[in-house]
Amino acid sequence: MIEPGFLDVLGIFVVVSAAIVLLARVIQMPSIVSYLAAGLLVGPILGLVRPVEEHGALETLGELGIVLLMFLVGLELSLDRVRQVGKVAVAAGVGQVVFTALGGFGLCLALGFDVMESIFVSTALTFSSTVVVVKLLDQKNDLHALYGRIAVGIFLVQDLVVVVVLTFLAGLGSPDALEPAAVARNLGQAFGGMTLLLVGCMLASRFLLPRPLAWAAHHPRTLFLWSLAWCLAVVLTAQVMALSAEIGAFLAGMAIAQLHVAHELRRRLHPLMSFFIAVFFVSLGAGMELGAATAYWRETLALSLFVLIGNPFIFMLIIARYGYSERTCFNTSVTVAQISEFSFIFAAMGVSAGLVREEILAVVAAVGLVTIATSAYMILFSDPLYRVISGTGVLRIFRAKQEPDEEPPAETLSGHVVVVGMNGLGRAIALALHERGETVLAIDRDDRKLADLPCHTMAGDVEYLSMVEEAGLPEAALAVCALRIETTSRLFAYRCRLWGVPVALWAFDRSVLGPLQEVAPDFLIEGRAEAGRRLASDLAALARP
Amino acid sequence: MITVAILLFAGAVALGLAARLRVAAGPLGILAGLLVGALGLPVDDHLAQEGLMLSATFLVFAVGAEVDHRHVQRFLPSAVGIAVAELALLAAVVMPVALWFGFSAPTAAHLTLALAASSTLLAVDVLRRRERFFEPVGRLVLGVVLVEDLLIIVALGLFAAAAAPAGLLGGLGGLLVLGLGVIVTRHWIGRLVLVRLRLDEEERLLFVLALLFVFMGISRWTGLPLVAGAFFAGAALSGFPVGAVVRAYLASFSDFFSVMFYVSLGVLVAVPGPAVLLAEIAMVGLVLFARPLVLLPLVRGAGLTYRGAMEAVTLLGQAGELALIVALVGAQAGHLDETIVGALMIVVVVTMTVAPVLSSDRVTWALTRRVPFQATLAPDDRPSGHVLVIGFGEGGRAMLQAMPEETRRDVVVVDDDPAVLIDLRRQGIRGVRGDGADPEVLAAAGADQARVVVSTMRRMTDNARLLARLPKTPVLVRVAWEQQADEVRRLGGRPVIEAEIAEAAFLRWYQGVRG
Repeated sequence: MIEPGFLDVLGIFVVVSAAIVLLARVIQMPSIVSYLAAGLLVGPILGLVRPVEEHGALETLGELGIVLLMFLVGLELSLDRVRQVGKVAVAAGVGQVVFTALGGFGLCLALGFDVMESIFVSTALTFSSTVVVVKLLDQKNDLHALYGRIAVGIFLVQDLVVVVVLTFLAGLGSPDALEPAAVARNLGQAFGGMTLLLVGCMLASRFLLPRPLAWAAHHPRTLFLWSLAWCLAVVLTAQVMALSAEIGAFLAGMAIAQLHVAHELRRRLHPLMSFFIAVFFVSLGAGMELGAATAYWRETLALSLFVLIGNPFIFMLIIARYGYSERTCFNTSVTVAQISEFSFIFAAMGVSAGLVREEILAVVAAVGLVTIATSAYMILFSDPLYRVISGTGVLRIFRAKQEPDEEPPAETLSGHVVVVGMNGLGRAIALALHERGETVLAIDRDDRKLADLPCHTMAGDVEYLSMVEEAGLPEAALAVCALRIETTSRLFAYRCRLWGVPVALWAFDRSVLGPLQEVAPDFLIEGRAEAGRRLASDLAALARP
Repeated sequence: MITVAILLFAGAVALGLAARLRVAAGPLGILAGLLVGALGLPVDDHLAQEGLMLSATFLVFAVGAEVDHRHVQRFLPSAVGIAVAELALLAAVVMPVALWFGFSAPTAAHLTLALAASSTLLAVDVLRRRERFFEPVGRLVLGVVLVEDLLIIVALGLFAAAAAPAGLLGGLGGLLVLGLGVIVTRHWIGRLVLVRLRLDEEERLLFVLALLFVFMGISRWTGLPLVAGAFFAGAALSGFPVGAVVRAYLASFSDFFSVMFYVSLGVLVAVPGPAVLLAEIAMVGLVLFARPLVLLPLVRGAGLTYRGAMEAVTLLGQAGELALIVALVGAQAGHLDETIVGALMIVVVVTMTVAPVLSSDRVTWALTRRVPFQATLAPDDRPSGHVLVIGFGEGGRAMLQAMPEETRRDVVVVDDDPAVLIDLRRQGIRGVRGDGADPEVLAAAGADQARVVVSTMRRMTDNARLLARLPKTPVLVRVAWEQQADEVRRLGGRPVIEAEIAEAAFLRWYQGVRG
């Protein structure tokens, strides 16, 4: 066992997880599973690192990962979009909690656990992991999809319940916690706090945030840092109100979702979130104590199957009652087939309070590992899985409607002309092409420059791959880059060449001619030199004595 | 989480202020950190220290990622010469003084390195903001700071390795391995993994971060400081197209961690008392004024105009993030005490704040005008019916090349830069030195007798003054956009609009391609 410092441990985490993620591409292993595997490898299996709790900075990075992940989800979903799925989210969220808690309790008793252990284990099985599901939905790019929104709504409801249950379980040693008054107080505190925070965020979204963020949008670094500061401010407020950091981060994101900066912000935050969340999952794997689980493999298997099959089953039952299609019901239901990182906390609380045996912690960890890994595949490949199961006819018992749900089709452009950089030149070209009947998509980082253009517009930075993909660049008929940034122009042209899109670049200065020619654009617009030649010809006309 | 939140709030305020006041964010970040410390806010020092280490890593990684010699183009040999000469001169001044004051040789060496370390990120930021990044001045400045960075990292690595169990040989071996790693990654691995394999963004990011930590691991095993590995890892990813592909991810990390770095530093490092004020003033003077003076002839020798040279040397006259890294590494090795680190922090704050001001248009033009050089027409040369060209940049050169020989003989150029006029004189073209908006200069160049005037001055206020001065003479004014053209027409001038000409050229090509 080496005695590594914080950066050494972080380095080991990153290098091992990168190796596993890249190698596991062959079997299409979801990155979450790779991270957990990396954690298991460096922690319980090889013993390369000490428990993560000894490195405060690693824990903080993991927490930041969760916060940023939920902030990004909030940025995707405005209040209206969440409200559309509110009823089903509450019904399914609460219904599943009740079913799993009761069913799990019965199963635990049947498996031979005592009453107190059964309470803790069944509670641990009750909650699905918001972080796992949101990360996978984000990876699938399905946060916008109807089932994605329903799932996020359900998990938010469950996060609220988690707060209440955590408080309840923390006081399980004292008889006061079971008092109806204490339960009512906890419930009131959670829902009151949630309402207050929601109202505060919506007011901020309307009155406090728009002006500063509109100003900051012209300074991308400032926008980035201010948004993060806003997010952490709401998270801390949520924690003061005894709510979870996830709820705070989600509401902070939702307050910005309506503002035009949300897209750009999402692109900028994503890499940072990916790094921090990877640290979180690897830490989770590294901290798992699986030693005793082998002796309880039957219990582990039974409980895992209960979560993997029972939870989706009850979800199908509830969601189908709300008139959603069978496919939507199925896609939503598979998202709950795992237990949460909170489950480990519940079990650990029970152990530290002396209410359950240490072996129970190992069983919960093993169930967590099995269900998270399996459900990750189920979520990522939910469509082919649906086709297979639907083909057997077994889903008919839920009586969900067979017609697909109506979702607004995503607007996609094809055969269009992409013009980047709305300075005088880019603007003139965009307008000229628009007048000639081309479908033009004008792009600039500054949305003010796009405001009065008659063509399609998009605000953002074309250095991000996701941005140019959203702009439909691979399907464009022609691309023009009028930016005065050599490196960005080169990258843009390079991508155009990869996708076979003809591209014209603005060579704004003689010194950029060589570097721009290297990427072989189809045309170089030489403004200044052309202007010099025009001056000479105008001069020739004027200067004749 | 509270510690991160406090550091982030302080950084957010500093960044907002920096954007509003148009000054460098780093110094304000440090000041914000000092304020956090002074207010006694509940910051976990251990967490802040670990955060500082991580931030320093990413900061140096970001600096390394700028190391693409292709940006520097033909200025690379000049940049190497300037950076080496500068480092040698600083060593010749700082080392003896530090030794005379009783500091040890390693302390003196670390001080020299810190004072030689201009901020790459500040230079890049300022040049990009002024749209000078791709002009000769931008390329030379970038070249100098990148060579400086490389020299300092190598020297820092060797100092550290000499004291490590692996020894100097181990350090040299480590540098060799890192250098090979850079070459292999730039030419093969980076291209294969980041470009040819169709990875998603998360996989690419993981690869980039893993590469960073592998390079840092090599540094650690060979006794080099971790920042050496971070720098070389950045350099390994700086080439095209790999560097361009990962730039967007790195920007998020660099934005976040650079702010955290400066604020954490402000929180953790105490400001030294007045006892070292004189030393601080001497170091600031050395960086802000002595270094530019020494650099000026070298930069001029690289072929920059006087104005470009003024801008370059004043922009290089600062100590930046790498100076702080050198200070931290020196402190970690026990060569620098907290007072010296604090004093260097003050030097960084002052010089990073002042350098952008000194390198601004207004100051560099004012300095250029003080260069002792006379260029005026001969006493018996009273031009009349000539072509007066005011301002001589790329457009002016293209115009001159396109002119018939007989018209070219009639040209008189007004420009403020002696180097431009010397070059024109070699071509047999008459020149008057001065500001094209100055009536005296215009009179000296015979503006009233010119049959046509061409202005390529950038500022519209200067063009407006010129047009008001010459109501009867045809004046062609080169402008960038249509909006400026309206103003020129209103004042009686004839605009030549760059954007319109470029657009016409594009549309001709477009007609050919799309029919």
